[in-house]
Amino acid sequence: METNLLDILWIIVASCLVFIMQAGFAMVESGLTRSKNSINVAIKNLTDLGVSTIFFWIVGFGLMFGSSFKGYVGNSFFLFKAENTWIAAFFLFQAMFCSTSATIVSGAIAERVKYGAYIVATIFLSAVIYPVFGHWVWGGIVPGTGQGWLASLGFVDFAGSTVVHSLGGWVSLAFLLIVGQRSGRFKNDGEIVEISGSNIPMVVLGVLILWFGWFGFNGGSTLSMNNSVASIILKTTLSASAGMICTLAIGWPMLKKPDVTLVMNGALAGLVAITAPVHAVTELQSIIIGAVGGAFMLISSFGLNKLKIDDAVGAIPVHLVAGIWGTLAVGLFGDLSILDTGLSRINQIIIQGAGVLSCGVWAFGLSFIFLKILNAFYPLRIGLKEEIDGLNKSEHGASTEIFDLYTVLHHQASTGDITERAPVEPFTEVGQIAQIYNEVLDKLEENTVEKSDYLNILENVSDGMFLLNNKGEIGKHYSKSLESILEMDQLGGKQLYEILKSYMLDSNMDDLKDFISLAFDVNTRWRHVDRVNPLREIDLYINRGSGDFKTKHLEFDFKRIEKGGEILNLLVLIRDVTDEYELNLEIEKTREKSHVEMELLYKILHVEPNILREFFSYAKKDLVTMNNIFQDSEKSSRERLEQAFRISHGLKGDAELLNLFFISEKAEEIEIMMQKMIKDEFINRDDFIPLTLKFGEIQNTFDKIESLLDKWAGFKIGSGNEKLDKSRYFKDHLVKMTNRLAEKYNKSVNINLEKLSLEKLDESQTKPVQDILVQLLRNSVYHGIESSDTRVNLGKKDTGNISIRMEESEDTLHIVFSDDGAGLNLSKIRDKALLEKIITKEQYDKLSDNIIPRLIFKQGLSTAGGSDSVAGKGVGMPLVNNLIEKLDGSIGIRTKSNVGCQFILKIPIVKNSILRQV
Amino acid sequence: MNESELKAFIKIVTEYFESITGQPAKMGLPFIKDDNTDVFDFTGVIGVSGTRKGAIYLSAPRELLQEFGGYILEGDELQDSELYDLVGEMTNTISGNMREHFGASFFISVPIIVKGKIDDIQLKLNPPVYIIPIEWQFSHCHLAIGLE
Repeated sequence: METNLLDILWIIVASCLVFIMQAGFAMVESGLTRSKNSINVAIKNLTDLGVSTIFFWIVGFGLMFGSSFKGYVGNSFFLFKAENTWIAAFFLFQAMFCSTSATIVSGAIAERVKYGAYIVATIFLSAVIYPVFGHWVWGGIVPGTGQGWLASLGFVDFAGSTVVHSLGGWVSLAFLLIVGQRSGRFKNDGEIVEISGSNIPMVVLGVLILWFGWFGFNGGSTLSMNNSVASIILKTTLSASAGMICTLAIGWPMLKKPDVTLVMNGALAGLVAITAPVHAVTELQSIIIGAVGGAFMLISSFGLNKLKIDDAVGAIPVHLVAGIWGTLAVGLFGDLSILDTGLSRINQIIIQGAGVLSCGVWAFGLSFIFLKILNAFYPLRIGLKEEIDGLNKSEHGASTEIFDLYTVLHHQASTGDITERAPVEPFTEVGQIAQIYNEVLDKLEENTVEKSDYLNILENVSDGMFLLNNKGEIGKHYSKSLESILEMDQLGGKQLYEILKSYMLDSNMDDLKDFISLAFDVNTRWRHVDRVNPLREIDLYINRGSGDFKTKHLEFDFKRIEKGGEILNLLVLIRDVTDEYELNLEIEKTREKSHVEMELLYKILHVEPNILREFFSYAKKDLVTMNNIFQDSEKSSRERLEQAFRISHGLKGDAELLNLFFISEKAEEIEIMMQKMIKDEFINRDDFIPLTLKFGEIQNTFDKIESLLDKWAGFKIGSGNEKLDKSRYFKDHLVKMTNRLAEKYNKSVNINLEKLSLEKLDESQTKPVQDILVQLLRNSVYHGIESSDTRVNLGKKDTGNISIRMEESEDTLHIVFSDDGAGLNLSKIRDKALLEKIITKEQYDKLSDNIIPRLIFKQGLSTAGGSDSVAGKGVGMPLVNNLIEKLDGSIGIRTKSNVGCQFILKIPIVKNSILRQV
Repeated sequence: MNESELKAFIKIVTEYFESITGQPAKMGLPFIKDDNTDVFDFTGVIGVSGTRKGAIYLSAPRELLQEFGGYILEGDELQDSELYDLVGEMTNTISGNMREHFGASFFISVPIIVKGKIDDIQLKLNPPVYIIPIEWQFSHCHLAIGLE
């Protein structure tokens, strides 16, 4: 073969340009994949160059360009030796083509395949698949080696749309179908998850390098520096440009954005498509071919996504689909005279299609079978963990700054430990990010510590502590104690007002609303606001759910939190001072109680304890009796009132007897109330309310005295004869009472009790007899004994005499109560009885003098001029009558005007009383 | 406990009876609760706190409740569970009215309802406890007021 050095130079230059394409592929593929895999992708590009070159040298070149065996395979030039300059340059050029075909696969299957598996596949591709199919199309280029069977049929592929690009695309497809998609590329519903490239500017630079290299790829395929080279390079550029623009024009509206891959893969598709027909088409046709190539690339990209075939860099649409289109374009647009196959256009198209098909069957079929078998023995795919970690680390043990950062982040995310810091590689972007990240971590850690301290305080402080915003809401963080103080969980975000509303009285709530609004008013000075804090000391009433309340005494303290003149929040502190408060209250109550008891003590101290105890025992019984009378619904209200009135009168008399005025005064108040009610024609039930309250008051007083007497029990006087003492005390008090009454009514009275001996009475009789004597004594001093002046005028001694004596017969005790006073005023009694409607007029007329005295026992009859605590209510004598009935006794009256009056009580002697005396 | 407060409590209860049934209720003669004062079949207890502390209860016999129930519910004789609910409804309304009246000074609880004898009433009532018989139709119930 004649050697033209210029041609050889051009082939060498073109080889260099194609070699440079390896760099372009490396940049495109590593830039389009994630940085965790970038090293793996790049190293594969370098590896396949070396491996393919070696195996192309050993066997590939021989199979492709050796002497043809029936057009199917070459069989010489194995372990290639350059016999001349041209063939050396030619080998170099073809070896670069072989590497290009191999490197297409690396991009498609990126980020999931083992490095070793890829090398094995590259060996198979460069040693078998590529050279055998290359022989079918390009066999015979070396003079005297025969011709490939496709070439002999008229199949034309000028620079390798099918031989190089489609073939690489077919192998990629087989590989992808076996290894499957990257983890996380598609969701369950088929939606695509975008995986962003790590370095798009590098991808762009890679595309530019590829474009530049393509000048050698297509231009060098002339294998000589002839007139067509420049035209080929021009058409190559036009097609690339058209592919790019067309893809952008279609894809932009569809994707609603000018996606980076549209621009770069569009240009690459145009380059691939024009590779086969570039020598035989016009400039315009090259533009059409490039544009359609771009369109097919775009459509096939969508198709692959639909089929969930995950081509990492779009190698199949670019190299396989655009390659097929370019190959068919030879038949569609190629100048038949330039093609010089002797075929009609239709036949040329058919042959081009047959070539495409045969490439598919051969390259896809063989690689699929080979890889499937290989996969069975040596899994092509890496494990999930390795895939997640990235192939840089898992396959090569190589780390990048971003991987190191990722590792630290992953560790922090999985352990929660943020103490570790990211490695900082200065003068790199990732290093700068890591440095800033570390600074953020430092600050975060500092804040976390501060927050932790703050939360520790909130966790342990015994007071309720929280921030309140201007809406009255409790802040997210609050002290743990707050929940127990307010007896409510999940307080964050809740309205303080709403919480307290269920625990507080309405009156406090209105004040609280005003207070909070005032507290957030910047124009009001805090000391003025603080002064009206309605919760400074409040009681919270917590419903225990069983109808009763737990009372908590709380102190609220508010503080404004201001920043830049703005009130951000109120800091609220709540102290639960219930224990302290209740203790103080208890002390206060005890003090008050002691005071009351002391007062009571002074009032009762003059009475002998046993007498006092007896008095209160009877007095309480009287109260119970009165209470029972009110409950007795069988009787009319009036009857009940009258009955209670008599009991109250007795009680009053007893109290007076013992000088217990604080009781007799209360009894007097009750009497007045009852008297007023009885006198009304209709009894108003509402009037019973104050009466009952008064009863309640007396009962309360009695309870206190009872408690006092219990305490006093230790001071009980140890008397040898309790009965005697009682009798003596009673008589003493009768004397005192006489003196008191005499003094009150300005009279002079002497009482003689020498022959009164209460010991003769049964215990059950003592109290009624005492009551009777008290009533008779009051009656006598008030009505009977005249004033000293009157007495003197009547010729009597100025001092009146009252005597009470007791006489005993066989079964009866006679108690004779005598006075030397005015005697009963019979006419007055009779008149009053008529006036009070106790007797009718007819009875009035017929009444004899010995019957009239009995009228004094009628309720409501009193001859007193007015009513006071001693007389005038007409209830004393009816009480006497009642008591005598109770004693099963009788009472006789003897009276003589201005001489005196005598009451003779006859009481049966109770048997055991006699026995006791015996 | 003062006269006007006591009267207000009574008024709230008697007016409640009249407003629901149209039949007037009147107060019987009040008395002070003693050891022999029993509750009736159903009792609604209302806790009171605030300026006064203690409890109030309305205790009613079955027959009164049957008759009262007849005014607001249709159907046959009421079962115990229905009477229980009825007392709940009555005391709830009464306590609501009390809250309306005394809201500014008293804290009045949602009532609890007890059937039969109650031992712990004493614990909540502050003596002296005033019993106000409420006469309505041919029966009567008790309003008990035991506030400090």
